Amino acid sequence: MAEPSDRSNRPASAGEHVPSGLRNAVLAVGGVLVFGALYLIVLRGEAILVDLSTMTERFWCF
Amino acid sequence: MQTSASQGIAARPLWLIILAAGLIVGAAMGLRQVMGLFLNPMTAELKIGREAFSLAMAIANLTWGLAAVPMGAISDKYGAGRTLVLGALCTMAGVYVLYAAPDSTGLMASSLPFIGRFDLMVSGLLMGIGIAGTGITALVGAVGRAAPPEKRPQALAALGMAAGIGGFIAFPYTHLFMETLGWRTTLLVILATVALIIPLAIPMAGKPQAGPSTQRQQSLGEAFGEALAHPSFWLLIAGFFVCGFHVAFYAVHLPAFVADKGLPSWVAIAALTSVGVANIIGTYLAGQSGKFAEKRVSLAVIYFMRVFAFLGLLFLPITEWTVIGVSILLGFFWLSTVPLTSAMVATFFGAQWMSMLFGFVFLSHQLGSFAGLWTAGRLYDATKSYDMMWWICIALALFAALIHLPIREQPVARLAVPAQA
Repeated sequence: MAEPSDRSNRPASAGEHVPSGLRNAVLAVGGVLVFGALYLIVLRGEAILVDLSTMTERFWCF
Repeated sequence: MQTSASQGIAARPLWLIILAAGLIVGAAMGLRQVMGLFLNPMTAELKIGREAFSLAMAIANLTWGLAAVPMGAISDKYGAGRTLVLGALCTMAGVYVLYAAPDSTGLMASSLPFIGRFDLMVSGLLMGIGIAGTGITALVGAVGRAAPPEKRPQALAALGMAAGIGGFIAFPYTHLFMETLGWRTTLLVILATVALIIPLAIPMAGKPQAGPSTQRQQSLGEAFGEALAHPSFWLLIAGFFVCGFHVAFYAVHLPAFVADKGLPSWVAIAALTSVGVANIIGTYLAGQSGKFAEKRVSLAVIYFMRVFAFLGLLFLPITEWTVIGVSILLGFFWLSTVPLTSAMVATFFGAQWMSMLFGFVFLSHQLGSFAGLWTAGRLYDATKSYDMMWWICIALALFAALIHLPIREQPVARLAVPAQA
């Protein structure tokens, strides 16, 4: 059974696609942030863990 | 013919809505993750007990779970823009209360004397409401309504990935800021980051458009009544409880487990980082799975695969690489449940009250998180081992996998009945 929705009957138009320049920029900035974070974790991971170790209410989930 | 203005959010391209929602949820979930970092410096400088800070964070978590339902209802009825702005303002106020917390030395006097010694609790309350208004529960409805049903799991997976990335990157950057700028100035940086949510809310603004003309609109009470009488909705709630139980226990107790096994502390960081990275990939794959598999089957597979991770920790020799390997496996099946569970809510009941109903399901996740942490602590104190906890996790994973199989993944009858003129 088809599920009704606001746009269920609307075909995807050109406007539904991310402009390629914007997509590349988002991916580039996101990539830099993630790799920067990985670098910082490699460099300072143990210090982060120590600072968090007393916070038993910490959740990494939600 | 409808004009763009009257169409509101529905007139905007899907990519713009997902991009704005992703940035918002990334910022909100990142903030949500990092508050634990402030425990040590704040309690040391303000000369307050750790209990006061922990209580504030517990209040924030509880408030988030409870406020997700009314915030979702507001988002569904009046549009996500209002809840986002309200949530951002509440979060900013909560962060400011922490920033302005009085220094016991008198060098830093509180600028909020009327709050007095309750400032941390007030901050927790405000931040709980704030995350309920800006977090993933408030946004699934807006994104779910914007995406056509066949693309909904992928759109919601993009939101889940953004939440994962936000939470993942927030830790190391905030830690760096705290070391270089101090904790008070870092709170101002966080406050400014949260302020960015307000302009980002513009593409999300606008009252949700009514569904197809053949579909009768529901009141809030009708939506709740219908959901609570739907057996498959309860199965979804029970499954999400297990998700919360697993992830909270594993994330919080893993460092202690690693230490108990005599492994170096870098293993815990590497393992939790592996979970974070694999979670992003797993969430993407879960969204893609909607193209070729029923969501209930994908969810059953996700919960079933967790069994192998927990069995690995019971029966494999515990070395650095087995812990990291198990964490990668678990990461793939971590919060990949979110897009599928939220999309399933829309499959059952349509997208009109999606945020509110997912907020209700999410409350079960938070209760599961609490249960996982509490049970693990109790059992560890009693047995000085996590073995019993791994077995409970295995049993719950099997239970969750099985209860997803009888779910009827189809819309309720109401959605097929044309509205009366």
